[in-house]
Amino acid sequence: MTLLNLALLLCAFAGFVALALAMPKHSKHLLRRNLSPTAARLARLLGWGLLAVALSLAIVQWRFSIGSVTWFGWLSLAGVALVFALPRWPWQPVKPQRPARKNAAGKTRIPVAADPVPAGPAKIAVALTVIALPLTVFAWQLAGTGQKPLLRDDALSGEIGPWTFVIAEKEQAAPDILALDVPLKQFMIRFCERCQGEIRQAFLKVREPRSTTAAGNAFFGRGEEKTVQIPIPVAATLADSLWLTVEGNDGTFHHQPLAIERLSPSLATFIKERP
Amino acid sequence: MKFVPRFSALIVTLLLCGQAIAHTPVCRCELTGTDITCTGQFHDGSAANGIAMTVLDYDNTILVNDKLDKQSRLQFPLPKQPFYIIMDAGPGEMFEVDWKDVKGLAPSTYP
Repeated sequence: MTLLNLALLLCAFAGFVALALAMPKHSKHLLRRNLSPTAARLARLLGWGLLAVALSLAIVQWRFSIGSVTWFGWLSLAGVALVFALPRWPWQPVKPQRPARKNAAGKTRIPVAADPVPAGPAKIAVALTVIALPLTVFAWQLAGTGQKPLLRDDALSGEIGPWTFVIAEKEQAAPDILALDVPLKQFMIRFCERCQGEIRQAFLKVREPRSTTAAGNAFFGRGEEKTVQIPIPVAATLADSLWLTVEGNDGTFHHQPLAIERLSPSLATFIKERP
Repeated sequence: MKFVPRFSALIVTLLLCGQAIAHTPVCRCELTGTDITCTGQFHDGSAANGIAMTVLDYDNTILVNDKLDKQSRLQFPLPKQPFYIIMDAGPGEMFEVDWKDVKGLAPSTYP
């Protein structure tokens, strides 16, 4: 994961450098010469290509929702890094000196040199805070963002009827015990893109369904990831398994047991240790 | 100046609407004398009076078809055969109680 984030940052940074080289002003700054139109076009293509590669990497790893946000995050950092690196480039363009103009009286006006005022410690502190604040918030958000359940290593891929799916427990923890002391556990599922139009509803429950009308609780949710909250029966054992039922638009039902220990070790422990 | 409280209310509503979607029914049953008494609720603790309750045997023959009363309870005589209870709170929102889950009912009740 760290390597992927590093790759995103490097790709974004290299992309921005290539885009900068494609601009006459910055290519003169960085290379001390203008690139030929062909080279500039190639640099522009390379720059956008690298940014696109970074976006693809992020989407492959985190899907579009999180991937695009992560990509924007690294783009911002790469952009800021380049902006701060340019003034420190070994060669700086020489600003053209304006010829001293004469005033109405014919006397040469001495141009007032803009003496750089040395920044005081307060100014430096403010500047550092302004830079550090978004970086800290971004790093904190990145560190605190848990991985999406369906992208975790413990997510289970499978096939039910003609459809493929990925299922995972929402939180890797024991069930929540709420009203009437009933333990409730949440699971998430995602079907393949083609399947989504062919599936009416999917259900999950502990124990094999005794009829299609008692197939369990249905997965709900906007988007392609659906969530379900199911109760854990008092006398449930690991042998009961979790049962996934999928109803197709054509009215067919497909059932499949899923091992509790595989899908949710924390639930298996909860069931085994329950008095 | 009414904008700020209105905007805050909108944000709070938007934050809470995700919570309002999931409304899982929960149910507990126990043996009371020769009857089974079930109490239903929703997982947030709200009452579930009026929710449909069906008791079926393992061949899916309906033994009892009733609703939770004003106290969110249902009482019915202990069936002679293995049974299960379905609390049906709407499409895809159900709670199943097998006879093995009924408090006070010995595992040897049914062969």
